[in-house]
Amino acid sequence: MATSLGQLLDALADTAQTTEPTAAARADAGTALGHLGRALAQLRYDGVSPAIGDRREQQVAALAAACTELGARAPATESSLARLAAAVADTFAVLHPQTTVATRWAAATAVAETVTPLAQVIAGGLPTGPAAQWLTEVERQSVRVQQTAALQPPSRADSAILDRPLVGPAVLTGSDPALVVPDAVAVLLRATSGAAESPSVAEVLAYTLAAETLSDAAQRLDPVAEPGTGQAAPAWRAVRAALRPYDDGSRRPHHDAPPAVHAALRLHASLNRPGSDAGSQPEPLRAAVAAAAQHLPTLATQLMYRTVRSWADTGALVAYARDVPPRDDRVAAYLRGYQLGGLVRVDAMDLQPVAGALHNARLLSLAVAARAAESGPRSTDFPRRALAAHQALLEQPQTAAALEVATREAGRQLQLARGRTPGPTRAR
Amino acid sequence: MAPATHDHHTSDPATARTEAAALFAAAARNERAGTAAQLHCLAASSALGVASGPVPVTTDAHDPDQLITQALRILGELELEDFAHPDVLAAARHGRRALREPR
Repeated sequence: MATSLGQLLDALADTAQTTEPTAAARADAGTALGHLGRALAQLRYDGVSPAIGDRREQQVAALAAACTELGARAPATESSLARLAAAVADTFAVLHPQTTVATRWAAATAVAETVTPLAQVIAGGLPTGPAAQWLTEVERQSVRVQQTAALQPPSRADSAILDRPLVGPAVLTGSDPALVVPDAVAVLLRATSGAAESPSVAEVLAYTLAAETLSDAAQRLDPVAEPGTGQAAPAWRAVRAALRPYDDGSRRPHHDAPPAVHAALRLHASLNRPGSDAGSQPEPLRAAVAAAAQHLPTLATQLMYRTVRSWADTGALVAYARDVPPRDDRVAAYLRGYQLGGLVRVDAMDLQPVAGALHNARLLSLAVAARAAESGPRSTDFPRRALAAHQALLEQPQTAAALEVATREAGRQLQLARGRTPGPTRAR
Repeated sequence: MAPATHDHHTSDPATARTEAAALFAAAARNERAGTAAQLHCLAASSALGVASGPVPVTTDAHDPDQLITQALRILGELELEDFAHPDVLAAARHGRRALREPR
């Protein structure tokens, strides 16, 4: 099942606090600190402050070095603490494309907090020598990072990275919808996080179908919600409608679905079973839907700022000039109509309707996620930091008006799509 | 017990603890703070080990995040050895977690 950096760090701190300080446990904690040193060094390398070499970077670098030195002096062992810490360190590499300076600072402060209980496992059992000196240094540097974190606390939005789900197996094999939903959402977030290899139009159509289904299920968790207001499912449908004019050659039958498309279709099928109604579903599934809905705004953001941007930058898509916003330099192509000569390569301006539809889907997904968190049951691993970030955004004074505009715009796009005669290549 | 409602640097650990504890206590009873955030603030206030007293009503008008941020700043401005005290570390940790919780 999908996990997150926050869950791994919480588990590491809890395990350290309940571990008897035996010689084996001290060795395990020492190795774990070595892994955390690796994680902190990576964070420092990627950057934890806007200015190069400032206090944050120096302190994180010093803590990373001290942890690494202590880990190097620990007897070679690998038990629960070391395994969890290794997973934390590896997670940073996985999350790298999704991080910013601010989110890395949030992650570094969370790691520094976890250093303290690990150091306490070792403290008191070390003879005087280099290892004891490095332990003292670890404790001192950890305090320095935490002190700076008290002066510059990470925001809710930045701390939400701790709740980002991590992909388990690439191909989903389970059949329990309560397990399929979180795993599928983790796969979708991973598939849309990289800028290097952007998904095709057909893949994005599958992702948005899954997002629409999940939004619909999350909306139904709130039985008293007024229909039509602040609903994200129509906005996700509007994204698919906005994508209709564009093609990259992927709009054709495929023999095999890529893992992310497979995950999207599994999520859709899991929540779309005959007679299924999220409101009357067993509690684990309702909790899974409420938790998964917290990641819909991130999915929309990644599609907007990575996928669509990548399409615009690479010119990977084509469309008939008649189907994209009119421009003076395309009169000839426009007059050729729906023929080969009427095709144009799509750029950022042409993709504005898609970006606008994704912006609406993101805003409305924020509202749906917050309502689902209030109405649906919350599991122990509920992404509460992500919810906190959503609530902070929803509390901004301009958001209420923006939500109204987004609802109106999504409805307008859907109506336009219904009234439009499909062109020759727009099969889906 | 008067809570600090303005930015300033205090080098006296006892005064800083008292001021930070009062701010955490005010945030803990603020209706605009979420339940989890209130609990973290209560834990932070308790961790500082200052005798509890009435919380001034004037602090209710403040945003709970501002109160927590101000308390954290007061603790963060302590000398390193004072900040390294386990009670202060725990209070700062609870304060940071309160800022991550839903409202």
